Amino acid sequence: MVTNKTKISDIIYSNYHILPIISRFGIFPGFGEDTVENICNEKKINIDLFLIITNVFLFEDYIPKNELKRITIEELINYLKLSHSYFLENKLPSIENKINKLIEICGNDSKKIILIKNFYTEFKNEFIEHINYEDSKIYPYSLKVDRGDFEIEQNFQIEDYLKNHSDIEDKIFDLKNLFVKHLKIKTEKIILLDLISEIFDFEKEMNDHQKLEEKILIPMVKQLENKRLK
Amino acid sequence: MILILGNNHLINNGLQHILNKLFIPAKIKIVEDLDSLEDLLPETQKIICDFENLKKIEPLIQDFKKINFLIVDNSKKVEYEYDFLSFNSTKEEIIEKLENFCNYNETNQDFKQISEREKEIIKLVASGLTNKEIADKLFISIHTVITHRKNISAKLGIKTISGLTTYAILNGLVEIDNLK
Repeated sequence: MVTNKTKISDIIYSNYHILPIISRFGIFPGFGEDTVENICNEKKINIDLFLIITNVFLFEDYIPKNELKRITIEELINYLKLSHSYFLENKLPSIENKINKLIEICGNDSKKIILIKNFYTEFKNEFIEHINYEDSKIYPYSLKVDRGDFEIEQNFQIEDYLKNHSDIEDKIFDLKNLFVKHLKIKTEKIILLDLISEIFDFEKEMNDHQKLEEKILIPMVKQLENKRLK
Repeated sequence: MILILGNNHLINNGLQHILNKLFIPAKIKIVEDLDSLEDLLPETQKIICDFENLKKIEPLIQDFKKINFLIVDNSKKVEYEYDFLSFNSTKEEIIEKLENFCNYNETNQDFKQISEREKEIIKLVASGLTNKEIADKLFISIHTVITHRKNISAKLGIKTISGLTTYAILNGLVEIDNLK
């Protein structure tokens, strides 16, 4: 478990895939001997939020308890929005670039990759639409609930929007397996290996992101909704 | 799915660790709180637990044929008909026992190639038919179609309809022109 006293460098050594996650807090390599506590104080980061995010990433069965009482909906949403930008501005373009490059250099096999690209595009559009929905509706609504200036809408409660999550999750799972199991191309393409490892990272980050929304944000908002309903 | 059921955190995680190293093609889940068990049972094929927990969960199990048990316990008496692994087993014994217990060749679909019948269903899914339409067309029940769909997803690692469609074209099961 990551705690106040854990060194940032030790977190990275245990699983370097967490680097982009940590960077969302404005923390970048050159960690030296800094501990979670040092760096959070220095950068004015809520330590409990940092602990929740890193432990969710590193330990599948981690469930935050006391930390939850010490973070605000606003802080959590600020983090989630940074993830959104990261997905939109970095991850998606990077994956798409690699697919395009693969198409360019694969000669006769390019048809197969174009097929998978069509599937990817479908996923991407759905994903972007979902992100936009969260940015324009879910997050503003959650912030309103947090401030207490809201009316319970009869036809909308925070739980309703989770439906979309599973389809997006399934699609990225499929995309990964299309590349890992089912695409057979003749020549060895190093870029395919990069692409696959990037999709794995993306799937993991996306699932964690959804977990933060489902297991932390939604319950926090629901609790406030229920208080109001009483 | 394989459940590791018990109150001993050390044992549970030890078992999970060993199973992970065996590349078992099934989900492995630790359950330390029996309340959450009921939801998991429909998806469960195998349960690893001790005698005490076996007694506790027996009343919950409706169909014993569907679930295999491996008892891991400190006691020596083997009073049940289930597979048994003692705390004193050697490394080799543990691995052999777990490998045999989790041997999925017969029960698990993941290892098998896609069958002709399944290919046929993939084709129909890819051409846009619903489960109901597929059932009518092949003169089978919708329940059977759903079972096929589940097995197909498990074998291919593909869950969505458009994913299956992509797979079908990629493997020449359907021509692009035949798609709706």
